[in-house]
Amino acid sequence: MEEKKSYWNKWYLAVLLFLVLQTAAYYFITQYFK
Amino acid sequence: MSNLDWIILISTLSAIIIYGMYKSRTTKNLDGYFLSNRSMPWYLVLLSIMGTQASAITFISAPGQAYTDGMRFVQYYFGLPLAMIVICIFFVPVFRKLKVYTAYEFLENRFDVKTRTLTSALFLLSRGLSTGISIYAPSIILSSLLGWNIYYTNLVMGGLLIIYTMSGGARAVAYTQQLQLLIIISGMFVAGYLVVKLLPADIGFTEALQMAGSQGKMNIITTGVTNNHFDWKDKYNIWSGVIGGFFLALSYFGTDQSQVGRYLTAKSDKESKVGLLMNGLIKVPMQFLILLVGVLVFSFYQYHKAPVYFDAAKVVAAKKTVYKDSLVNLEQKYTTAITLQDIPQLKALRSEYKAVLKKALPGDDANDTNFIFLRFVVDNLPKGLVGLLIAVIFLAAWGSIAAALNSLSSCTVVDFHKKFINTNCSEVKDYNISRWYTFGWGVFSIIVAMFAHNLGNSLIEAVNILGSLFYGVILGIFLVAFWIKHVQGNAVFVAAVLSEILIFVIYKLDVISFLWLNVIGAVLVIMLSLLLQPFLSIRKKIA
Repeated sequence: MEEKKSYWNKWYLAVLLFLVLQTAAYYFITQYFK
Repeated sequence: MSNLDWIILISTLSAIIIYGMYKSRTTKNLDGYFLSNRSMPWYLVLLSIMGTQASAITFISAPGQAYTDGMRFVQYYFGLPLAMIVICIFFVPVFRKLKVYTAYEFLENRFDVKTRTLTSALFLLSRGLSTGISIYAPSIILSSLLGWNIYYTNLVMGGLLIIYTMSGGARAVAYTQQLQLLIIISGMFVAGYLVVKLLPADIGFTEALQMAGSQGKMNIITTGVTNNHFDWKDKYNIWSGVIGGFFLALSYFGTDQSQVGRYLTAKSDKESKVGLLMNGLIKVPMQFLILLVGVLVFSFYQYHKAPVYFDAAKVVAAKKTVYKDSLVNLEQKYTTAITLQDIPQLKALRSEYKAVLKKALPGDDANDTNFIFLRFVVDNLPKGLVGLLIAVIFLAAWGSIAAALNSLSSCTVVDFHKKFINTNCSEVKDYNISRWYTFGWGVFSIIVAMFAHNLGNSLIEAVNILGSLFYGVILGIFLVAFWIKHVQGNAVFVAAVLSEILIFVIYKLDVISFLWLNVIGAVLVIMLSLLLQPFLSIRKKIA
């Protein structure tokens, strides 16, 4: 059960992290092309 | 369109219909027809989720949105990955454990029949109308651009897919969406590649983006702050995107049967969740790329003569009025301004042209955002590719409409027919009734399309405004169901009705951008049900 929870937590973290990284990338692109 | 374009268009559409009918072999019961026997792997769930959300409006309107307003519309999707996580944690386990056919069945377990019925009815109303718009919106654009009869276009846009949707149910929908998405993604990549290729020799991809950026189109991240205060009416910024977009995505993917029905077809909880989470990873970059095509089209038109107005049919109609000379005069000034590369003047002239069009054709929407991308395709892409891109529009429409019809039928059968009309049906009778309801909703949607006029603004906005009017309240009902255990059916029912009325009032007052209505609707239901629960439970005790 704990293993399962840890498996899904990794997925959720990956999705969150990807969103944060993307947002940062888009922010830099916005500033670069201003 | 050339003969080659017609061949490609007709072949592509026919191939989808044949493939859909081939994949129509399904178990003749509700499990088979609505849930594909809960047998789908995660990648089919993913493609189905994406195909259901990305309608024709996405591919017509989004590039036009980027052309006129820049990239900031992408922020609207920033809340989606967060919503996917919440749905995986809270919604999927509940729906799958209860083995529901519709999301609203769960509400009867939790509250009562009337709450389930109300929520299902709100879904049927909003999704039914929205499906009509999903047919009409691309049809009116294609009909205007290519000179097609709008009624026949509506019929092809909304009618032919009924053939495989009615016969094959969820299985046919999922497999055709898989093929449709592959064609759509290929088509859009080709379009994007060609826009860059058509730029002048010394202008590459980066230079094109720099040109667009100098005109404010690379405004991917915006804060919504102007003159040191937050503008609540600003449509697309990071805050309305993350917060408002989160609530919208949570409601759409968590409580709208057209999406819930997609991931209920998965063969296990894991396959449902992986499909949803992959959607959370892919959706934002995908939308970014679609919008980027619009920005590249904008750059293209800085080096080639852009039409002063992209809806040529409207110009023809307007020139038949007394305003013909004004329009011709403006067109001449526009041509001069292009030669002089006077960008502020070009912008001003476009606005003035639209203002004259509004006078010439009062009551007509003067916004040409939805014509920009397709006008570019028709005027500039090689023969054959025009046909492919028009096919992309149809396939995108079919993907989302097919899923919508399947979900409308499932709610009608499970939440109404089997509940109130005929409670004891054999499996085969259930299956046959379901097919006829699919057909019936298909016809209803086409009728809505035939009567829809003047939606105004970007069509992608019109659909999302319609969604935002209902989604917040529906989401509020589910949030109370999951997290506020002491609230019972009466309180949430009355709260939902009052909240829906208030949402319409707020919308009519036009004091806040529509994305926030999702948040407001959900919060209103939660707060009102908390306030009403003590009184309604006391009344019950006294009674």
